[in-house]
Amino acid sequence: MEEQIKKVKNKHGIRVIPGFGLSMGVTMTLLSCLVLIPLVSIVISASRLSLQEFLDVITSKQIVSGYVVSLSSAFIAAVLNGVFGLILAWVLVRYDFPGKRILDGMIELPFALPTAVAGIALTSLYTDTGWLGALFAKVGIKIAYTRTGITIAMIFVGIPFVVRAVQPVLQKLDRQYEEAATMLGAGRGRIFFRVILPELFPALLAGFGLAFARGIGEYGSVVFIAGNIPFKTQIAPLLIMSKLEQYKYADATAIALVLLILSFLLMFVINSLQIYMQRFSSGDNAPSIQKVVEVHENSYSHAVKYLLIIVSILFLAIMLVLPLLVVAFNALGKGWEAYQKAVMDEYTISALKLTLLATVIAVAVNTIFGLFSSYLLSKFYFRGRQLLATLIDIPFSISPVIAGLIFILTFGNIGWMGDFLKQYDIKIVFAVPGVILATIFVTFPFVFRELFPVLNAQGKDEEEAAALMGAGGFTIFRRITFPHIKWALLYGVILCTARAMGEFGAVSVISGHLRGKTNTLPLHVEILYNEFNTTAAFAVSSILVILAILILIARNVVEGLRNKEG
Amino acid sequence: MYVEMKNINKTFDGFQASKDVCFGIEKGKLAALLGPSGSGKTTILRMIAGLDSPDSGDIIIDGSRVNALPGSKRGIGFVFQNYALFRYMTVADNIAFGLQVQKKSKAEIKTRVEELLELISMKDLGKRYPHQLSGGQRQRVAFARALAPNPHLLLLDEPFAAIDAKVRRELRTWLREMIGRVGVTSIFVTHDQEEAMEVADTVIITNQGKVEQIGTPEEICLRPQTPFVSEFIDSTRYEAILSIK
Repeated sequence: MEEQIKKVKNKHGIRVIPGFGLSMGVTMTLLSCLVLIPLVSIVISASRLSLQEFLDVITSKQIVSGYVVSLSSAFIAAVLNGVFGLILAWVLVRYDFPGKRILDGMIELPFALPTAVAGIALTSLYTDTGWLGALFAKVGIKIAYTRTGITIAMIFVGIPFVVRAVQPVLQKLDRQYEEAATMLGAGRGRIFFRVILPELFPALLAGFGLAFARGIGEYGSVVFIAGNIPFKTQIAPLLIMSKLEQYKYADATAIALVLLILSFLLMFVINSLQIYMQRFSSGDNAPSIQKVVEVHENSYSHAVKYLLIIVSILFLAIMLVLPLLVVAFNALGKGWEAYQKAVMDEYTISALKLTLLATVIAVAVNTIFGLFSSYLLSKFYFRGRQLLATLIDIPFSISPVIAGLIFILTFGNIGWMGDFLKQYDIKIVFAVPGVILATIFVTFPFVFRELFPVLNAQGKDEEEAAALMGAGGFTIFRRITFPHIKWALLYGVILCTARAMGEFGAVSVISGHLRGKTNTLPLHVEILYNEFNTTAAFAVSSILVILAILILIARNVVEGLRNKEG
Repeated sequence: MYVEMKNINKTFDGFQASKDVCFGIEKGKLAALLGPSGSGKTTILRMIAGLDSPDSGDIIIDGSRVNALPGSKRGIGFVFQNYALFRYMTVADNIAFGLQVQKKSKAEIKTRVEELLELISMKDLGKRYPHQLSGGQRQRVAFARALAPNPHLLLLDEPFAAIDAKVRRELRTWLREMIGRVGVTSIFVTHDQEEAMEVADTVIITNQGKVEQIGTPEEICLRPQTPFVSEFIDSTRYEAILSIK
C-alpha cells in the first residue's frame, strides 16, 4: 500500500488531477518536432565551421556593420518606445477623454498589420516625395534609406510592447503610495519620478527588452525603408537573407548564431534584472483603490494632462494612422478599376488561399499545443517546469529570418534530413509544407502565452475537488477548466491569426517565392512592390489592412466581453 | 476644539458615504472613529487629510477652514492601512522623504531620521528595505515617516488591520505611549471596538455615513444614546478595561 502511494507521489504531494501523461506527451512532441529539433540544426550546421572560418565571417566589415546598424537602431527605437509607451500607458490609465477607447484599441495595430505592408507604407510615407518625407526633405533631412528610417520602422513594430507591459501595472498600482507622498508634501514631479517610476520600472524594462529584441530581429517592415546600402543601412537579418540567396549557408548560419546569442543574452540580462527587482515586493500588497479622484487639481496639472494627451494622439496618428492612409491612398491612386484588377488577379487569389491555409493550420496546431501545454504547466508540478516554459517562449525572441533558416538547415538539400526526404520525394523547403511549418514556428507561443497566466492564477483547487469527486480528465477540462479560459483562448487565437497571416521574414526565407505556388499575400506584396507595380502592391496590401482592422475589432470586442465578466 | 467637522456631506457615485457629519476633537487627544465596515469612517479620515473633498460642509483645523487647502499644506501626518512604504527606498529614506520635500539641510535630516529611528527602537535597521521587515516593524516605520515633518495632527487608517492578533495588542499599547510622548492630536479609524475602547480618549461611532455618538469610552459603554450603539457595543466586555483606565 505504501509502495503504491510512493509511486504517484512527488515532492509536492500526490497527483490527483488526471491528464498528466497526455498533456506532457502532446506538449513534448509538438515542442520537439516544431521548435527544438529544427533549432538544433543551427548548432549542427555551425559545428561544421571551424572556429577560424566562423570568426572570419562574423568579423568581416560588412557583417560587423550589419550588427552595428541593427543593434544601434533597435536600441534607439526601444528607448523612444520606452518614453512614448510610458506616456501612452499613463494617458490610457489615468485620464478620461473622448476617443480614448479607439486610441487603446489601436495599440495592437503593429501586431495585426503584416510587416511587409507596414514596410512599404512607411517607405512611401518617408521617401523624399512622400507625405512626411517631403516635409523633411525641404530642410535637407533624408529619412527613407537612412538609419533614421530603419529606426522609425523599428519604433513602429515595437509600440505595443512597452504600452501593454506598463498599462496593467499602472492600473493595479496602489494609489496609497502616491497619497502617502502627497501627504508628505511631495509635488507631482517628485511623486512621479521617486514613487511611481520605481514601481513601473520592472514592467518598463520588460517592455523595453521585448521591443529591443523585436527590433534586432525585425525584417519585413525594415527591409524596404532601409534601402540596403552596404556598410550603411544593411541590417543583420538582411545579411542572413542575402547569404542564403547566394547559397552560402555556412555564412548565414554564423551570422544567425551570433544574433541568436545576442538576443538570448539580452533576454537573460533583462530577466535577471526583473528577478532582482522582484525582491522589493513584500508580497502583501493591498487590493488597489480604483477610485481615481483628483483632489485639488490646479491649472498646472491640467496643462500637463492636455499636453500628454496631445502627444499621445499625435504619436499614434503619425506612427499608425498615416501609414494606413498611405495604403488606402496608393491602392486607389489609379482608380477603382486598377484596384479591382490587382485584387482579382489570379496570383493574388492563389496567394490569399495559401495565406488562409497556412493561417488555419498554424492556428489549429498552436491552439492544441497551447491548451495542452498551459494545462500541463499550471496544474502539475514536475522537475524542469520552469525550463519548459522558457523553451516554449524561444520563438518569440528569434528573428523570423532565423526561423526560416533553421527549417532550411533541417529539411533543405544541405539539411541533415535532406537526403532522407529526397529518397521519398518529399519536398518541404520551397514548398507549401515549409511555408506552413515556418508560420507555425513564428506563432508557436501565442495561445500558450494567453492561457498560462489565467490558468496559473486560477490555481488547481477546483480541478482537485472535481477529481476527488470522481470526474475524469475530459470532464474536468470541459466543465471546470475551460470556462475559466474561454476568453483568453479566443484572445490568443485572434493574436495568433493576426501574426500568422502577416508573417513575412520566415516565410520569405523558406518559400522560394514561386508565384501561384508558394507565395503568400505578404510575399506577393513584396514581389509587386519590387517590380515597381506600386498600385497593385498597395491594392493587395489593402486586403491585409482590412483583415488587420477586422482582427483589431475582434480583439477589442473580446477584451470588452472579458472585462465585463471580470 | 482642534479639529472640527461641520455638516459634512459626501457622495460617491450615488452612494452617500457621509451624511451631515458633525464632531470635534480637542487638542492633544487621541480619538477613534469606530464603526462597522462601510459606515463611512475612512471617508471622514480621508476628507480631513484632503485626500477626498466633501460635497458640502466645513472642515476646520486649528480655527481655520481648510477645505480649499491641499492635504500636504494642512500639517497632517497620515499612516496608511497597508503603510504604503516606498518599496524601493530604505527605511531611512522613507522617513527622510517628507523632510527632503521640505528642502531641509542634509545634516538636519540626518539628525531627525536618527532621532525617529531611536524613537521606534529601530536604530540599526535604517538601511533595510521594507520587504526585509516584519509587519510590526513596517507599522513603526510608517508611524515614524508620518511624524518626521512634525505634523500637528496624526491620522491613522486601520493601523493594526494588517498585523496578526498576537502582535496587535503589544503594538497598540506601544502606539498609545508614543502618541502620548510626542503629544500630537491623533485620529485613528478602526472596526475593532476593543481596540477603540482600550486606546482612545474619545470614541466617535459611525453607522451608515452618520455619526451615532461621540464620547469617552466610559460614556459610550454606560450611556449608549442610540439603539445602534447599544447593540453594537458589547459593554460587558469592557468593564475590566475601563476600570483599569
